[in-house]
Amino acid sequence: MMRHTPNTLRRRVLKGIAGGVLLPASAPARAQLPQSARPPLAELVPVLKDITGGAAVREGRVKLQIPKLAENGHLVPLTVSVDSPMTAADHVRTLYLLSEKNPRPVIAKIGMGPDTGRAALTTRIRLAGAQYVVAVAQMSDGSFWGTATDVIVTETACLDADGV
Amino acid sequence: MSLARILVPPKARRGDVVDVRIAIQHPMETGFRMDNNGRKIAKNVVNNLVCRYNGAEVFRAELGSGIAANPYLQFYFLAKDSGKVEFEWVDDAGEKGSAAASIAVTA
Repeated sequence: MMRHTPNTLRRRVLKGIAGGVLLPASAPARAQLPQSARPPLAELVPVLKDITGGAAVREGRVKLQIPKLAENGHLVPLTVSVDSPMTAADHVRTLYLLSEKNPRPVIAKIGMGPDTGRAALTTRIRLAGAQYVVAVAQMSDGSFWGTATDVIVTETACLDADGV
Repeated sequence: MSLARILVPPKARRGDVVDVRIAIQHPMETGFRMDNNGRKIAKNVVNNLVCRYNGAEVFRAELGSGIAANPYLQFYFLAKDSGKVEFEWVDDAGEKGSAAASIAVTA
């Protein structure tokens, strides 16, 4: 694989996550990326499609704080926050936490509203191996925003899932 | 009935965004583990958690097996009036749990 700075790699991942479904904020919806440019997040494509119904997920507004190196995949602390005023007119409706390699990709689906006050959540998740963790938020206007962060996991959770 | 520890600030000012924390004692069984006889242990996770503030829902979480054992959540709500903050959750086995705290809101 080519060498990338973390930023360009992340951008490539975001672009390729659903074959162009996750677009940079400024880019207009345009043709899908060629197959060869698609980084390894193919597992999440059908999951994202289920969530968005095919709508574009733009990069930005969502922030994932997760350790770069998680020693224990059974317990990875994570904070996700969304840049939103959380008013009746403009708030986060639903927030999804997705995992690329867990046997069940949807980690959590969070419902929020203007009474939530701040679009943020801290929790602890399980990760089956080093992978990308993706957060996608649906705003009150129906638009989707997301981000992906890679995590290295030294001791993986869900070993039994592979029949080990 | 599963046990939980909750942390809700006892006092707040109207308009403050207050932070609440909940930790539920639950194995969050993934369904992928085997017992000593090689049989699968059934999946059993806290799949739904709702937080209501004076009866109005402020936060809802549908959790999966990707949430670590003894699920811990920290989130926020907007303080408006004095009253009750209630948590309710249910797991795959249908077992329900709840916890509540009161908050005093000053102007």
